[in-house]
Amino acid sequence: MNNEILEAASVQVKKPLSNRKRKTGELSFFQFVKKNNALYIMLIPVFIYFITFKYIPLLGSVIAFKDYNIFEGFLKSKWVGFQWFKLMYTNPEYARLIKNTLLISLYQIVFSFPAPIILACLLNEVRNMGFKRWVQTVLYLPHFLSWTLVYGLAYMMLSVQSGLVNGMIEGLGGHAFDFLQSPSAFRSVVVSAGIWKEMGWSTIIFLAALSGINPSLYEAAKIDGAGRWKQFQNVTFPGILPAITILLLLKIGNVMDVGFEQVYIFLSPITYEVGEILDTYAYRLGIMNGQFSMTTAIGLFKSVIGFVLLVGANKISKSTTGESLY
Amino acid sequence: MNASKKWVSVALAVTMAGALAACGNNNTNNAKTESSASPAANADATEAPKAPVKISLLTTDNSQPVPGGNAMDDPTIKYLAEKTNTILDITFLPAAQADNLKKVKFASGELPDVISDYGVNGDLYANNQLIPLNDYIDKYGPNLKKVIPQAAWDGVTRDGKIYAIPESAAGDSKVNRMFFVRKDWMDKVGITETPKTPDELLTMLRAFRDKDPNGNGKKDEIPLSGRENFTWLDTILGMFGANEYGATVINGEVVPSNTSPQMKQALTFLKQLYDEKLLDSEFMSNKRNTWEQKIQNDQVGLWVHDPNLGWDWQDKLNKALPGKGAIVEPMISPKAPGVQYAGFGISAYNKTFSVTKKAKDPEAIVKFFDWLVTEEGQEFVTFGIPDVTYTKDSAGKITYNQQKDTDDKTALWRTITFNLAGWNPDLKKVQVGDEAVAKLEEFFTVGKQEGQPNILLGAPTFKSSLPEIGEFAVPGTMFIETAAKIVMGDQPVDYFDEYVKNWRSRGGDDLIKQATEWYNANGKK
Repeated sequence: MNNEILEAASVQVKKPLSNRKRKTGELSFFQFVKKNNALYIMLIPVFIYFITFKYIPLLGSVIAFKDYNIFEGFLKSKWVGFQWFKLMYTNPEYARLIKNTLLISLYQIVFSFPAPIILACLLNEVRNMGFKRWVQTVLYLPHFLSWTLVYGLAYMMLSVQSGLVNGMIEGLGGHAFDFLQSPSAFRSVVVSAGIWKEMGWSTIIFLAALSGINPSLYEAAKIDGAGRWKQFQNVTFPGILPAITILLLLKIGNVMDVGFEQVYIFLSPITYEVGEILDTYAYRLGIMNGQFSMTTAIGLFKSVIGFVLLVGANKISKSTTGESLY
Repeated sequence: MNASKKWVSVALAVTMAGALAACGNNNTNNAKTESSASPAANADATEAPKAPVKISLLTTDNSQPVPGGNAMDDPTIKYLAEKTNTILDITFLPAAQADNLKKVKFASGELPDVISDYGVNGDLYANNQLIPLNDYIDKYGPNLKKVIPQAAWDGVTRDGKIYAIPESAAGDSKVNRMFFVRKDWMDKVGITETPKTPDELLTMLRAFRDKDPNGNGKKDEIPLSGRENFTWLDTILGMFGANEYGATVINGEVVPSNTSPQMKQALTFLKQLYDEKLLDSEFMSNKRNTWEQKIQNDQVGLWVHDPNLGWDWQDKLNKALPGKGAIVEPMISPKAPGVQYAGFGISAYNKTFSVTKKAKDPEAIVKFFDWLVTEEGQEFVTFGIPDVTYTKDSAGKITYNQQKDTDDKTALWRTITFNLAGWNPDLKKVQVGDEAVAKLEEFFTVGKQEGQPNILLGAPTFKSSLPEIGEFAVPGTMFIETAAKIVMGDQPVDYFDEYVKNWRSRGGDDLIKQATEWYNANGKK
């Protein structure tokens, strides 16, 4: 999430820059750079970061086309072409992996994505600042817990033998339900845990967008006799729409990344059927089974799909709402 | 818009700080590895005949507190290094992820000189990274040859070459997993005879469930418990001649026990236990600590564990349930009709140490392990450093300061990491007391009477590239998933046949072929 916020931030920065460039159209590129040299110097660390940590590792993707053996090394391993990608088509395991990945991702887009937006809008309407701050702090806290701890909490709540929830169900005369080991409940549990953990933290970017709305718009709306709901409909919501669109586009680009840790920690053999996703399978394949080539092929496959979706969604968004990433 | 601009610049500053910090970290790491590499180079360069040899050892922490930081700063390791004329560089991996972390280490090119494992590491063996030790052991390991029985060596020999130094099984127990039963529960519910068949075991477990053996008036007993990923139910499977880690011959083919009719029978039985609430309803999610907690809460009547921990469990329950009179006893496996060998798979060794091709001086390494099984070495393993945690008078009588050894947090990891000699009752009695040794011997006696022979003893690893298939005769996720579904009633028992068909067609057939070929050439007796 953190990365997305920062990426979104850098996207917002680019806009004023490109506007300025257009205004000063008569300057050549070098003159332009010279004039704004401070900004470009500040950009250098970012370039270094992306080259070292994002571009150089891309070269390693070549092992997706090799039968990589750790003892023979990067160069000497045998070249096998598209063997690993072909395996993805022929192995029936992948159908269920892709289905699970997409379904959990869909759940996240439908339920997890709007949650912080709604929460941010609600917080925005709170008048008592003390109360607002207090609520925000409490909501931020789960973000700092590790997934292992979140699982521990979920276990304490949902366990059949000692869980709070099942205690209540049984107290009310119902039958205990094993939330953690039922394929039917798995996706809901994982996605809900994700919402609980990240919802508060994700409000930050929307609260920033909300605070960026010009107060005079609200004044004007008030003078026109708009109530709170009308103000929300006509001022608040359009005000944060660009931020929502950008984050949604980014999310769509990451549709194959549903959060490895989040799923892995809840996964057990009884829930593989509904919960095994590409990432958890790649982890078991790569780390536990030493199949580094296959794992890389999965990663590459994911990136290509993410890239296609991102470009596609961006095009659609540009033509329908006018908002786009680039 | 002002506020949002301000926020954006803060965000940018954060990214940059992050990027800078990342670069900074990298540099210091590089510097560190370089500086730690140079003393090694120096040590090699001096080449004085008696200069200590540098040995790197990769092992696990066995879930015990282990010394952190530089190994040579630890007094125990320092003493051991001085005694064996070595410089030791020991890395302890967290036991729960040790297998994965090892693979990560190999992948990043960090191969140690010596690696601790349970058997000959399949990856390293297949890639020809291990040194055969026969000659070195003949020349420099006289004590190793004396102390470690032939059966243990057999398990780590491939094509006549020894690829590891094995720790012999404690007390000559043939199995390292067996039934632990609460004898006091049995007495309380009126079970006077140890169950001999699965049916009699059912009767006992039902009595545990219904007759309130823990006497708290609540029906909270868990007659039998197990742990996540379908583990620690081994002797239940064993009653039917099945073994998650074994292979068996059917119609001239060597197939993993995980696909055998015996396993189907065992799963059917487990399903019955689950349906009747005789098996822990959380057996698929219990972590080790939850499982231990349930047993110590006086809730569990029967469980499966390592006979080495026989006294450990008795001691734990004595402390957790004072005055309750809890008695932990080993239980010999009941046998289903027609089953010849019950219990867990026979294994004559526990952990092993293999020497990799990275090692510059295998001779020194074998000498190092040879010292560990000398009398002096065994005393070190059991009691620690002389005049620190134990004293020995002129008559050879040892006085062991257990309190100090425990307080220093040296007792547990030292014994587990370095023990190779198996079982030395004389030293053990001084270490843990007569009562504990008597309890352990009870367990080992049972351990000598059961176990399924390993028909693939000495075979290399047969392995599929798909994780759901995994290694031959090791439970892959496909098996675990199937077993869990059948036991928990998500699929009918006959789903097992479908699983076997799937397993074979997705790569299992190929593994069966390899295993059968090996067996016909080498294993058949």
